[in-house]
Amino acid sequence: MAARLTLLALLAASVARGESRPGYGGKLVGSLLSQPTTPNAPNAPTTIDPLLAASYAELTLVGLVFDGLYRVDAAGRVVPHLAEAMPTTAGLEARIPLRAGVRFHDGKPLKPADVVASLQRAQRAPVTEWALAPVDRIAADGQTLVVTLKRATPELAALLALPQLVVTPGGRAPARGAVGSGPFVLKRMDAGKVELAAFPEHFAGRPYLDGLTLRWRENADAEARAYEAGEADFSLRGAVGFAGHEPKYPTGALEGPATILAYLAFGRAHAEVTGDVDFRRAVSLALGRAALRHLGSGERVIPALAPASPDLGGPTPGPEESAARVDAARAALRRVRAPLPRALELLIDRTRPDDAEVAARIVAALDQLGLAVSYTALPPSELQRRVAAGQCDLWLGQLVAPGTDATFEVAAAFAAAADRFATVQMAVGPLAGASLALAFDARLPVVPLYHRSVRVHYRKIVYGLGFDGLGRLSLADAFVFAGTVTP
Amino acid sequence: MTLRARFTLWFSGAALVPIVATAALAWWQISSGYRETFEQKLSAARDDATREFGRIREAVRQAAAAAGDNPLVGAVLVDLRKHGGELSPAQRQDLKKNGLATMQSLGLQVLTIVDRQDTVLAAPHLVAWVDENDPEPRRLAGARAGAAVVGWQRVLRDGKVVRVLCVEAARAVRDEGQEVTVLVGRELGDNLVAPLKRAGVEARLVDAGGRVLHATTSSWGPLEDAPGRELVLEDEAGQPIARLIVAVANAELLTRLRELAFLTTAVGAAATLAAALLGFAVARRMTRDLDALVGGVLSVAGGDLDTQVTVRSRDEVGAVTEAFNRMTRELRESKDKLLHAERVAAWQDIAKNLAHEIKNPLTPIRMSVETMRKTRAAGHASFDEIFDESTRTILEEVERLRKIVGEFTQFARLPSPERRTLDVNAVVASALSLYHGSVRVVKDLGDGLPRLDADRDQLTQVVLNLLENARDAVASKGSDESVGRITVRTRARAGAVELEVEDNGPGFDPAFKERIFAPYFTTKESGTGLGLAIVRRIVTEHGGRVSAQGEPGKGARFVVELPAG
Repeated sequence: MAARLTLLALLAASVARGESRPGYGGKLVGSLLSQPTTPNAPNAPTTIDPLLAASYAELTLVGLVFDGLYRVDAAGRVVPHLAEAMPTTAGLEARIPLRAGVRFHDGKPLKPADVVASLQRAQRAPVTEWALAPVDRIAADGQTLVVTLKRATPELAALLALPQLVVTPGGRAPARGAVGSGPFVLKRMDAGKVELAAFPEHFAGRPYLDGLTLRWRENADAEARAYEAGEADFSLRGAVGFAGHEPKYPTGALEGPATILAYLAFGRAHAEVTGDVDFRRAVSLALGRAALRHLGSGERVIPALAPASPDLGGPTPGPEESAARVDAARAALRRVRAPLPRALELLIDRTRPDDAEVAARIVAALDQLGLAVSYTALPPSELQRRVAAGQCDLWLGQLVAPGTDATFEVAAAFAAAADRFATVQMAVGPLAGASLALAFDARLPVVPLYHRSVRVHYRKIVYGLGFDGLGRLSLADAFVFAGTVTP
Repeated sequence: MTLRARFTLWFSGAALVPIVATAALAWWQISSGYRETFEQKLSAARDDATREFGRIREAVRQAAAAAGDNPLVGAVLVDLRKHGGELSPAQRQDLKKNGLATMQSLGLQVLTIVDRQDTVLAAPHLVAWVDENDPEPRRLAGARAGAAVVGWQRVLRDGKVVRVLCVEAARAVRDEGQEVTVLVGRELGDNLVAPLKRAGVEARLVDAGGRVLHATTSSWGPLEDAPGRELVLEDEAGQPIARLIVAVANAELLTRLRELAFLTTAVGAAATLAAALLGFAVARRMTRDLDALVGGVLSVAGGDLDTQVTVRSRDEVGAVTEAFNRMTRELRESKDKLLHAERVAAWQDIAKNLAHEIKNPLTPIRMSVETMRKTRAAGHASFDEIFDESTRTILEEVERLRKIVGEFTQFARLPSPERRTLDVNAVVASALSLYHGSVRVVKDLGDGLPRLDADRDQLTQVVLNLLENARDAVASKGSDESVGRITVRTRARAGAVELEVEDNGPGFDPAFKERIFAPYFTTKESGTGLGLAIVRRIVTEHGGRVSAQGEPGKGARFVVELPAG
């Protein structure tokens, strides 16, 4: 009897584990809010090149296809990835042992020279040069990466965990058939669809999923409709897209950390005005950030002012505080030396559903100052082109957290505004919070608006979803439960 | 002005007055009709505007009144109750999702829901307003309690915040301790002005500063001066906030009035022309006999006493014409008699003078003959001497008689002039070459004289006679001929040539200035007295005239005026 009871208990435990036990096979279809990626597709992200990737979707895709030396795990710790261990430093030389036996998707081995070339390319890239500013020289010594530093850099591993600092063959920019060493192989990029297949030889082991298809839709509502109709297994909109609706399949939700910084940046169409820090202060002061907490579809949204000082605005809900803030904004605006243009244009990414609401709030706030601002929603590629060409006055940007160190976000913000202040500072010493905030106040390269998280809605047959420490959706450990799912 | 023209004018004028009066009356009546119709159209347009504005006000008032029944508002109140006065994220999402559709389904352009703390819970027209503080809805609800007022609202449109003029109303809605205030608004724009558009009717809404907010036409220019009506929209405080202007295009009216004016003028002008033509015809008929009569009178005045006017009418003009003809006939008869009498008298005078002239030589002849008979009978010793002297006297007197008879013959048988075109200065030169005399002749001949149509020989005779007359006058002065002077002048006159012969002789008594041209009148001791008579006859035959001027001791001047050829 005891033996029978023991057998029944073992069977019950076996069934219970069977619902969440990882199993290989299956494919998932999901959406990342209009994300990846083919060139010339109207709503597609513009690139799979890690050093050009900026949006959440682009960086998430980069994380699926490529590997870096270090990564930030779900607990926010920097852990070795392609590196076998944390750097060892002797004076101004840091040595990083590289993992052996790693192969690219095309079967070729990932060699130390690929790592060196990739990092050297990153040293020259505008968005990452600040992170490698402390690095003087990069070389390989056998299976060890030798990094010669300009200064003592205890944060080197954290810097090398930047999502853009991944390894490509020969350090070259990926072409259409991007080859990486990540858990998924890029099989096909079509308009509106990216197909990925599991990379069996990934050094960390084959992903559970056989394949992964990322779709992007015309807009957030279209994505929500697809999820509700059962055409996607996970979505960043989905279950809460339509009040009162129920998705076709039982659904769950998972929310990551609020690591995405939304900011207002300045273009060069009227550089004499938008480049004036008093104008930027006026804009920052005019924006009542308190109401921003209700943005989105229920994700965590934290109105942000940092690293700017609280004197430059912030979540001040009361009418008296609002009036004082607007008065201060008007005073700052009066200090602008150049004549104010009759109209200003604010560009937004039309694939980001909350941008329109944020833009409306900015337009309304600046209207109180007598600034006639109108916003224009553009496809991401067109937005980037206009921004790069300086053909706008204001634009809304988002910055995926470059690391767990808050100063990294500030540095990345400077870089996003094409301000090399952080790069120069990083070359001589680690960024210090107080002085960095002062510098940020003095230059105000961008106006921080809020931090937000990403919430993924998924069918309850999907397991193993998670977020890394940078808030990126992790699909490498996801798997599909083939059994019956109880709603 | 001729009588015919005057008659024509009178008739035309007489016709013009009633025509103009009739045309003016017709124009006034028809144009009044047009204007009245236009005014009615204008008034109807304003009534439409008032009605349309009232309809919008009523719709907004009703929307505010029904706010409590709105499911969206009800859901907000329930959510507030469920969550202790705070909206749940789900409700916020619902408001964000469905607020705009709800607002639009109610035909509103503004919908604001605020809580008791004046925090905006929903504002589909301006999503950026959510979570901001807006005391206006609760203030309006407290002050006007659902009444519709006109005010400005900010809305988000095409990525821009714009201010729109609205009719708005606010009302508090309560439910089990929860309270929200709903402000609804409907924009005053195309919904107000578009229904006012009719054929020829346009409308526009302008704010207090004159800025055009909405208009039924973008080309308002031609309507700037068109008659319009205004509906002044007042804000909550009773201050003008905007004006709704309806204007009726008067271009068609003005065109019609212009056409009417043209038509009446044309008809009036045509009628006047017809009256003038009729008047002309009547005047012509009336004055036809008068014109003939005038022609006859002028003809008679010109010396044609044979003129007779044909009588057509039997009215007064006919009687006058008949009398005229009779008078003319009698006048001719009288003239003929007078001419005959004058001719008889003249010939009597001539005969008397001729007899006198002839008689003068006869006396010496008789005395010479008687002397010869007496001395022969007496056997006078000096008979032969006396015989010679007497026969010489007789011969001289006979010669004198022959001369008298010759000149008279010349005078009496002066032929009709044989006219040719000639230069008077050439005639003068020719005459001077024939002139024999010691008195100095001074020539003062004008240049560029018109040519004459005259008989050269007769005209030469005129010049010679005047020269000889002047020479004789200077010679009769008895002084040294070297101081005598004759001046011959020619000059042009209007349509004529003037020939003047002046001497510095003894002159003559002005009383003789007419008689001096009579045959056989002479102040000279010698001469037949026919020279100047011949001059006048030749000049008269040429259609000219001759005059004499002189005073005793101051010379004489004879002026011949001949018509140019």
